[in-house]
Amino acid sequence: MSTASAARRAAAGGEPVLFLAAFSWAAAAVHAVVAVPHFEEFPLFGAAFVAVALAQGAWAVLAFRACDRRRLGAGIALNAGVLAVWAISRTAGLPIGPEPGEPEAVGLADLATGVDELALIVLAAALLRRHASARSDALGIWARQAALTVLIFCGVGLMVAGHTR
Amino acid sequence: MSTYTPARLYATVVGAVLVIAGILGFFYNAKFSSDPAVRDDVLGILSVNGWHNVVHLATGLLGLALARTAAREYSLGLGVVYLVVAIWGFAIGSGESILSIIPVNTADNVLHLALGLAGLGAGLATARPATVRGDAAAAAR
Repeated sequence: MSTASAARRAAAGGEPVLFLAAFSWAAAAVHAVVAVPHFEEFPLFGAAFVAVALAQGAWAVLAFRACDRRRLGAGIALNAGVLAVWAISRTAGLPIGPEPGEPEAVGLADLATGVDELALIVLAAALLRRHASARSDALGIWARQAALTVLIFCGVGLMVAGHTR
Repeated sequence: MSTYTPARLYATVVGAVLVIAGILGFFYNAKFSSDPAVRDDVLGILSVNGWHNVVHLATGLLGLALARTAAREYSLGLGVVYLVVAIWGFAIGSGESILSIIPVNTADNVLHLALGLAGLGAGLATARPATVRGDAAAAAR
């Protein structure tokens, strides 16, 4: 694959798709990093985090290469599911694990990742709604600043998760 | 208002995150020591020492400075560096230090791998400026 053809494909997807892919890659990176301590705590959780990281990473690449309605829908479903499990784990507590039914504390990394996934869902839904009509290749200035802020917040969460000892 | 390329987005976001991590780190530990015990946790969790902060701050500032002019080169360069650091970290094992100054564990190594792959991907998915000009000239014809 030449860099020129890759760049043309990215240009065809436009800036919103680039941000969608970045949201998904950032979330995948956090899940891959936190899989390490979860493997030591409860191997099934570690495996689940690896599976989520692989799914979000693969979706980032696929969406960047060609973003159609089916892939947008799959991205929304995937991240809504991950967010739902996270919300249960922070409120009612998961029914399995080392402490079943015990809610976990909200940390910086998981809060940042939750915001990142929510941003992905909102942007994907917006793209899905206007997919059949005219599509813009650029985000509005406020949407772009908000997307950058979310990505930087998630990046700080990733740094924190990756440097925990 | 120009739109973001993958490389410009990578340089902007990674640059900003590294600068924030570097600045925060100096408030917690500014000691330049190779002793792995000499480090403190930013916000109670981000474990750093003076060297680690300098690496974060320098690479972050470089990313912000190059985001508009040489983002592709920055993404590819930092991507390669992070991949090397990740492979190095996996090779020496968790709890050891790279070059005796940068302590790493498995989570660090996964983080460096993710950042390295993202940098390479962003760089390769961004056309060289000359290629863009060539495409524009071809389109004009």
